[in-house]
Amino acid sequence: MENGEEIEISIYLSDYEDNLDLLAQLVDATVILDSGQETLKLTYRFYPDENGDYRFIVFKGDDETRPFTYEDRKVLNIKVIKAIRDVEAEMRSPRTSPLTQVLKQKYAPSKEALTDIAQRLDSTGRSVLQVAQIQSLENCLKERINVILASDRNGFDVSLRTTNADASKLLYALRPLIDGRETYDASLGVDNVLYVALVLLQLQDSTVPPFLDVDKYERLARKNQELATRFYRKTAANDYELQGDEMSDGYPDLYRVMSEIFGSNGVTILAVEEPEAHLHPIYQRLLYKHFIKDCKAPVITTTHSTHISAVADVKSIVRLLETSSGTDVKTTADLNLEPRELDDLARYIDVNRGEIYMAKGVVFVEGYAEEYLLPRFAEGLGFELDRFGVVVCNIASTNFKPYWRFAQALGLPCVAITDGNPDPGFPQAFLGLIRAFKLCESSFQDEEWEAYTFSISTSKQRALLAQYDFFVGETTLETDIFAANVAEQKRQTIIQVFNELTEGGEKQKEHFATELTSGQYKACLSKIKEIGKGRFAQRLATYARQLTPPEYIRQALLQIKAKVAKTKVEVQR
Amino acid sequence: MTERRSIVSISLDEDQRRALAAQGSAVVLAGPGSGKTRVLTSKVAQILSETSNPRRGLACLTYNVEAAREFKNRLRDLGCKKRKNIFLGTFHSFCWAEILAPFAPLYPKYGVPQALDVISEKKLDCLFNDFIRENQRFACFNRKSVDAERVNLFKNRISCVDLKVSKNLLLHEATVEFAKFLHNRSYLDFLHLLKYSAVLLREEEYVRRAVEAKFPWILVDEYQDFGLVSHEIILTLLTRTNVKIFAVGDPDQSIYGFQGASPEYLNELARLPGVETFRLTKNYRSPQAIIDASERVLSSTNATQRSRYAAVGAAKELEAEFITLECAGGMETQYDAALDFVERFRNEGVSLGKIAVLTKYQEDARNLRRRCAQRGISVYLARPKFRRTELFFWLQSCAQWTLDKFQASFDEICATWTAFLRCSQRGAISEVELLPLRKSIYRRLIESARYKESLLNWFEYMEKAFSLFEIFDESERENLQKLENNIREEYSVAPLSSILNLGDVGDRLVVTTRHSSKGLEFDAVIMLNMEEGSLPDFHAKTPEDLAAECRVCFVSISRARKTCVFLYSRILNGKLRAPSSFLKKIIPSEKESSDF
Repeated sequence: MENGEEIEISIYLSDYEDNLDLLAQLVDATVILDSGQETLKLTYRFYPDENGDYRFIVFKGDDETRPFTYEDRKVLNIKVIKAIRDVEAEMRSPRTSPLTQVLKQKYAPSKEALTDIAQRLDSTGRSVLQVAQIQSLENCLKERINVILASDRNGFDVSLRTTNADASKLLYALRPLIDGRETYDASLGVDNVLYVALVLLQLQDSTVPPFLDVDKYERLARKNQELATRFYRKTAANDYELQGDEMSDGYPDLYRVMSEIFGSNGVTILAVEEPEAHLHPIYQRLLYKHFIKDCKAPVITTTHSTHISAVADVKSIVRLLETSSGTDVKTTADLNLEPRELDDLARYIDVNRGEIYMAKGVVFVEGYAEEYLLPRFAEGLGFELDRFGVVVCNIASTNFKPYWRFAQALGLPCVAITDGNPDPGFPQAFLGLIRAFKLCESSFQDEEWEAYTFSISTSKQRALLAQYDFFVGETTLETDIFAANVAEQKRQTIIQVFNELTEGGEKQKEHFATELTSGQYKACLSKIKEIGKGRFAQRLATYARQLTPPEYIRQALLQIKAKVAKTKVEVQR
Repeated sequence: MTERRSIVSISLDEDQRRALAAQGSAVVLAGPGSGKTRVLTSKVAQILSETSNPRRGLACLTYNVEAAREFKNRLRDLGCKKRKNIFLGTFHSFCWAEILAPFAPLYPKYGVPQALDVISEKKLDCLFNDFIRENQRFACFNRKSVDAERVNLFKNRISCVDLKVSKNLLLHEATVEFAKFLHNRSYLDFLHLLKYSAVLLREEEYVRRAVEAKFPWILVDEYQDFGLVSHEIILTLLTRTNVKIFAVGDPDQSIYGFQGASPEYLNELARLPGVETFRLTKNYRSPQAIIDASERVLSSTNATQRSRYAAVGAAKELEAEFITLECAGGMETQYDAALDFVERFRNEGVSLGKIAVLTKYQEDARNLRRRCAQRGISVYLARPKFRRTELFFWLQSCAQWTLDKFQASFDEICATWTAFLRCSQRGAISEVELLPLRKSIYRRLIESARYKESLLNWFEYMEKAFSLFEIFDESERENLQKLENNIREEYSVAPLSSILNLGDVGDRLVVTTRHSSKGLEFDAVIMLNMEEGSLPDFHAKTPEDLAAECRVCFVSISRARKTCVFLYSRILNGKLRAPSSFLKKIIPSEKESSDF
């Protein structure tokens, strides 16, 4: 770092008031937002001291003299599951294996029980290994070792065992098998899921543990004998095992008493880097859905996977944008939409596999026809939408508003294209213009209201809306295309497409050609509707590079191209 | 842990154990000598040993700093370790540290003054004078009467206790105006401190949540001494949070009515649904005769069953003695008679520190002190010349450490000092500053050892070295000045070590007012002014006022372990006086007692 610059990162936490442990520990971090809502604020500051040496502090609230200490970390922790992980190696090492950690932290079997098991394993192991060949090998080995190292032949005892039956190492020797196979043998990345499952277990609230040792049981019984006898039953190993679960009658009382006596283990935020690694796409979706719906811990996931972003809650997205001046962060958390609108969005995103999150730019269109034709028109203009990361988003004739707001929340450059739809009753009024104006009105300057009152010409209105990334056609897409391609060769292309698709006879084909040539586009359109507009557009797309796009579409495509020229993308949840 | 618990409960009697076993909110009614402090400390120890949740602690609130100090020592002796979110201190300091300081800045709409100072009594006097100067129509009132009215000024209260509100509308207006006057000038006095805290707690759910999170238990000592606003704070916690309240007190010992206290608040608390009431029935201090005598005084107020306390333990075997003496002259003869008794008891082997003379007025205590000096009796004035505040105790620790490093903890000295700084305008200490600060404290204390031959020089050095007069707020500064004056007057040639017993009774006769005798205990108690009209006072005319006078008498008598002496004059200030009507109840006539 140079120039005495400072880095400051603040995080805000909400929805914590019911966790009294957290509140008791972190109440000094309270600040009040402009909305009047109490929030916990933690700040990291990296700054030069008077000697110019850099140091950092993490403090609570707005007061630098209230340090965020290890005591605070106990109630508010973060567990990171890294992206490129060697699950197999981690599971094998007792130090890093979440399996042994869960066992030790949450279950802690008694020493006596383990010793007993170890002895029985040892003796069974011995009797099972009564195979002459193995015994012979064992003897040979023993003899050889002692010849080399010892003064007599019994100096070192050498034996062959299948497992190390030392009581203190017994837990470390446990291996999870899935379908009878060691996990690293299992395909589809199941070992990854197992790993994550174990970590989730580790993070789970352990205020009411599945087992209590005698000391803890007695403390509970002293405080509340009734709860102790109801919920914990003595096991053969002199421990006490939990009876019932969260749904049982009286469980809330048990929870309260246990947290009064022993406290709870605070909140751990789970951060998962790219859970998609080595995972089958369907498992990606399922795993993510589990994180969000069933896992009580707060989860932050970074991902490049459209399988995951497709099922993520629409309002849970944080998008990082690399810009020339640093990374810009956008979030959909404050997206203010009606539940119905959110549903539309979620459905669209799900069906299109969350492509929109990975996009650098979006063109919103009304239907399939545009979706098929736009990429081809762009090629005709000399660029590929894909290469620019531009996605054509078909809103299927619903409302533009939720999509538009969503893109803005994400900081996605976008343009929208809509039909002109002249109002049959009022020759000068275009429903498309009205639609566009309604969407843009909140961002209008004062003088632009004049345009909204339709006191200026429709072409000026179109120009104004284009400034706000809205491109409005004259009538409908098809007729606008007809109008833009009156040159003989291009008209023939359209006629050819019609002829390829129509089920009508020669008469019908003839009529279409005549009507197109004479500009009776309405009649043409109704014939196309018989084929299906989507189907027609799909076929027309094959030839679209040779056609001239309607002017508003040309402008829209050039505008989105210009807008995405600057940004790079990464996506997070 | 189990071991500690058994120590806690073995030394308790049946009543005390029952009170201790309360799972929820509880009121413990505990008469004189019934071991209420023991119950309270045991309860603290019990809660701490039963719950090992390190973040959720308890608050134990006392009436004054010395009682809090006493608790700290007792808990340390019980083996309670230091832990986060354990608050031992006065009600005021709790409100300051846990409600106002953290939350007032977050909720500016309540207009709590951002001042870090709680203004001193002297300053408050000056302000009151300014106020009167600006509002001549209130000139007929003094601060005392306005204060008496002010303590009961609290809107939307929960408590249903009838308040003694003056019918004088002008006084009421003066009170409201004076409160505004202070508010507009952003002054914070002790009364406002409580009121703002009560309002924040009542209005802001978040504040209640935070207090509940940190302090699932709040224990209150001497509940009968607290006024309406403190009571409101407790009621708010009790009715609107899950905080459990454990209050200990004795309505019969409520004698601070002039400060807004009332026995009814404790009674009301005890009656609330969900609050269990326990009564301690044993008296470990006095023989039955003294217990009965003191209770007979109370029985005039309500005729319900009395003699609820039974003498037990060593005290039961003591022989009670009641002496009444009519003095020929006025107060001067009472002084002489009192000191004659003091000398007699001393000759009988009672140490001076176990004898008390209780006066009605502060002035008599001062006069007696002069008289004692003439007769060579050393005196301890229970109303000390300075308050024993946290700062005073900190100075004591510093002195102790300077004299013998094993007797005090340097860590604690530093921690207290940083806490002082945090509360001062100087602001909090960042982690980076901590080590240099420790070094500098160390250096200063080492240097202070040069003055260990003279407490006065040492004190002057400390004052400068730590800029005491700059760091502390006005009321603390005022007290510091009093302390310095006291050292100049009485300890000008004493060595540093004398600070350790500065303010201790030692082997000195205790001279104090009846009101200040609360909480103390003596072998012999000598009470002056036992004339009708002095006790009960002329002015006490309503049944409530008379009941309050009875309680004062009850408190005074119940201080005694063996001997009570009552002195009265037939002629006082030129007027003929009769012995107090209370005396007839305390000492039934010969005939009645022979019937006994």
